[in-house]
Amino acid sequence: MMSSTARIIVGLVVPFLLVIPTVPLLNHLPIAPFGIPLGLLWLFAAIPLTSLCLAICWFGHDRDLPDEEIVADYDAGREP
Amino acid sequence: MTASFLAVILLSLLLAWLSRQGHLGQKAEDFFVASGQFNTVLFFFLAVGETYSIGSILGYPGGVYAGGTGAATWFLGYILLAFAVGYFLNPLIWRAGRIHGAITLPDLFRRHFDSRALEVVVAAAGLLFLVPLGMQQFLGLQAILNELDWSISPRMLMAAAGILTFIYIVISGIRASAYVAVLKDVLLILAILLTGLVALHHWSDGVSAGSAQLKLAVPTLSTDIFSITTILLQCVGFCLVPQTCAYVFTARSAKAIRRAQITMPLYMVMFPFLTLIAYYALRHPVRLSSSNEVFPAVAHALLPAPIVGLVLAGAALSGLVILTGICLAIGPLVSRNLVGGLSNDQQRQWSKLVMALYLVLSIAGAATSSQLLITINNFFYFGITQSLPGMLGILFFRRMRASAIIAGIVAGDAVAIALYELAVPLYGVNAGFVGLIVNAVIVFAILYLFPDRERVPIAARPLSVKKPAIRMPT
Repeated sequence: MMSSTARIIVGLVVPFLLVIPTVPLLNHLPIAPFGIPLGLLWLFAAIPLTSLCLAICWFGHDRDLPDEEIVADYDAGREP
Repeated sequence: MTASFLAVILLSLLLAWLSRQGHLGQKAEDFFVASGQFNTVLFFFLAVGETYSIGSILGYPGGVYAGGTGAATWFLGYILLAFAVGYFLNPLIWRAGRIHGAITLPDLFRRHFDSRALEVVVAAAGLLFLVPLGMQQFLGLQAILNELDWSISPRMLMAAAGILTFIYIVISGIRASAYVAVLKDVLLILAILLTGLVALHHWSDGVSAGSAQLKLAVPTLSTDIFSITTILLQCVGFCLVPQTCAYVFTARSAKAIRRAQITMPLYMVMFPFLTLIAYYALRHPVRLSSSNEVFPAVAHALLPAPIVGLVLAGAALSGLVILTGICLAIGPLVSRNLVGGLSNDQQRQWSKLVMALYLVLSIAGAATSSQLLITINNFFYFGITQSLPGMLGILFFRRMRASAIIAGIVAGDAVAIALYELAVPLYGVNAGFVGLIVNAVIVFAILYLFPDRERVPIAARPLSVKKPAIRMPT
């Protein structure tokens, strides 16, 4: 089973790194295939990659967690 | 075109009607959050339906058409990262909602911190920033309905859309919204893919003389800082939007949420196609009265009339689903959190009145404004994200004070609005981000200097798992 730290790195840190420094940096390159900036094309590629990262977290860690059963009391403290 | 459009609208009403089967005589919690019974599939469709407003579908290609690809970076970046943040944060918010019996975000704050004042401040701040969203949806609906070429005044069309929204809500609240969202999500993605693919097929046909290229933004340090701070602010703020909390509370389990979050980014495949559509409109002579009409106008130019009707219906439903989501968020904010002391039934009845009033005011606002749709999006997140330090207090911190959260929200909102309205130069930093920093400094300074009594945060509470019955050997 994947560790909790690895889960955070794969599911949160990697998607952030795919977007936050990478896209603005790529936008500085004077490359625009088909007239579309490289940064934007990379962002389109990051869409399935982010899903993949979350899927790795699910199959590597979260799928095996027990499901909670919590009965909610929606009227608690709200009686007129 | 009119026939296929109306057929989809009638089908949506039928689906809304079907959603009430087995759920007659709804209590407030069933009306607003489906009593937390939605499985992964319904949760996914509701979440996607509530994510892509008519502002995204019209505003994104409109923004790319009019202003180039500059805004696309932060716009797509924050939505994409919101799904990653949501994978981790939303199951915890769901857990907090179950433990505290929450229907709305302010419910969480009231129950966790035992503070009526905090509940009212969070509800009032949410309302303040939700109000322009309804107007945005009606402006978008007006652009869509214009394409139908009906000889009916725009105000009458918006009134009809408002009545339709109210009918969905009255039929069965969030359940109707979810069922209509299934139709809308399927229809819209097909409509965008089809329009994009047909645009690609006709890419070289009838190119207008001196056809334009996409305006390539020249990135500067200031635009980079704006993109980064906006993405950071909004990807977290997305999870704190009142409608997001409402649909998170509809989920049956934390696992149902996580499973749906994995696939949510894939729906963003519509954005490359919307970029393509904006690019097509720049290269070809497409009749436009405003940049927000790029998507419906390209569909009109390329597709046969009955298909255009389906495309327009999908886009119109996206506005209607979002409107029902906003109404179902605003209703309990007023009847449950601001007014207080109402019975379960009264909350539902008062909410319907509030929603009707909200729809009327939004139509009136939309009839007198023609702001570019995407700009409303920024202002919305300035305020919504200010409940983040308080939410972190609910989930992770033991001694946060309700008064500190109130001071933080008020200061954060005031700073963000003042910086934006006074156009204070921030070298690109998003005004809402500055507000959030001020807010967080206040909340965490008070946490460490004047800690409150201890409360067990949601993430530290033990799991409530039913142990399987142990079978004794016979």
